[in-house]
Amino acid sequence: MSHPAPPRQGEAAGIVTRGLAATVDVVLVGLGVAAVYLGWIGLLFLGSPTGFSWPTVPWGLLLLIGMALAFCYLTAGWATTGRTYGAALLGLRVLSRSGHHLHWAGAAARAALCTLVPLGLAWVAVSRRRRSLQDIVLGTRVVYDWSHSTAPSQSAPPRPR
Amino acid sequence: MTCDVLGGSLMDAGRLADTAFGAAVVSAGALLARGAAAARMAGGAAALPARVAGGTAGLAVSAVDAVAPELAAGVRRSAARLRGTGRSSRAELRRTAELAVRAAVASVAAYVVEQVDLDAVATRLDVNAVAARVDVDAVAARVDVDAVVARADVDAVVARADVDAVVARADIAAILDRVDLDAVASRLDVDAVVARADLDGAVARVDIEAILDRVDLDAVASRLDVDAVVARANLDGAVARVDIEAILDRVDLIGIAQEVVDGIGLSDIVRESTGSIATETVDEVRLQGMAADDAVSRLADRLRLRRQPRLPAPR
Repeated sequence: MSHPAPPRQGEAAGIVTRGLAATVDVVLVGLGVAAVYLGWIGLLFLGSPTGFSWPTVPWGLLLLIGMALAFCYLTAGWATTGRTYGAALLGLRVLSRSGHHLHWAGAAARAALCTLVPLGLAWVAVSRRRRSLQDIVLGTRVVYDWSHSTAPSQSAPPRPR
Repeated sequence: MTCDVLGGSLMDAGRLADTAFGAAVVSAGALLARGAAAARMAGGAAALPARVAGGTAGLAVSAVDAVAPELAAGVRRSAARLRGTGRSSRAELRRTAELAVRAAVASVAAYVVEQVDLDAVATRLDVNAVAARVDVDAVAARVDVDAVVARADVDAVVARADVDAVVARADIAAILDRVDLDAVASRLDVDAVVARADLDGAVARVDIEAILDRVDLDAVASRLDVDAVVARANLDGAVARVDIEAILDRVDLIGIAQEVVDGIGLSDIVRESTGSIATETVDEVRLQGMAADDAVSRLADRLRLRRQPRLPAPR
């Protein structure tokens, strides 16, 4: 089955698509936190079934766990394929200044900024070039890329100077 | 005098009777038929002297009546005695002659049987001629068939009969040509015949394979009016009597379904259709996202009150 050529590939993505992708990623991280929490509960139950009681976990700890999972998740996604699951679902890809995938360090830096300052994404809405705070700091950009390959689309234009 | 004459006449008549009897015996000994005829002649000869004597006595009485009444009376008495004596003698002679004839016939018959070669007689006998002269219809009319049948041991007769040989020699076609089968069929109580018949046993002995080998099923099928058969068939009733569950239990539905799925490639179709639907949905979401991005950018441009329009997105 042939599909029509996807439109506007390589253009900078706006706040709506990037926000939807971020939402998907947040949901996935939340599921990961829940899995970690339930796994920890299971271990406690197996360790002492008779004396088991439902533990009370502070929200701060869960938040730290979630941030750690998000950091790892975003770093791995951007360094390998240039996209997380949410970005892949919305047809987005994160590129470096040179138009390639981020290196592990760049991906980790961007992931740290996104985790610590998630509201930096909101700058896309007012940015003339649809750049978030993380993009401005690290020189990265997010473009439309509906291709299924792990490599950036050939139609993705380099970053304007 | 007259009595002497009459006595002499009677004696003569007796001797004549003896002579006739001897001749009759001899004649009977010579031949059976001739003996019988001679016997009849002897009887006649013996009766003749008596009748002569009676006539003579009558003439004498007439003469004596003319001579003297007493003498005439004496003569009548003598004549009466003579008549009685003659009658008794005649009866005695007849009985004696009959006994002699019977003895002679028996002797002659025994002698004839001893002397006759019955085999030769049978050989020379023209049985066909005899049979031709026999009035079979009259004989049959006199036969009491019911009595004969009542006395016959039919079971024994049937047991001894070689029915196979009889049937083998029978011209069945000719018999059937003479039989009015329509009339037989019209009188036949088919229901009773079927009720008495062991149809299961008969069917069990039937070699269906041999019958089918001899039947030209193609020819039968070509002559069959299937439309007419179907039109007359009570398909609803037939289907209502069908045990669908039993049929389904015998059918490998899973295997059939698997073959169908494999044949049409249902899994590939589902995969392609599902993937296509998902792809189309995702593409639609992406397009809607693009449109929303553009709408937000235009709104942001108006909020910033820029004099110049927004720069195009980097390409």
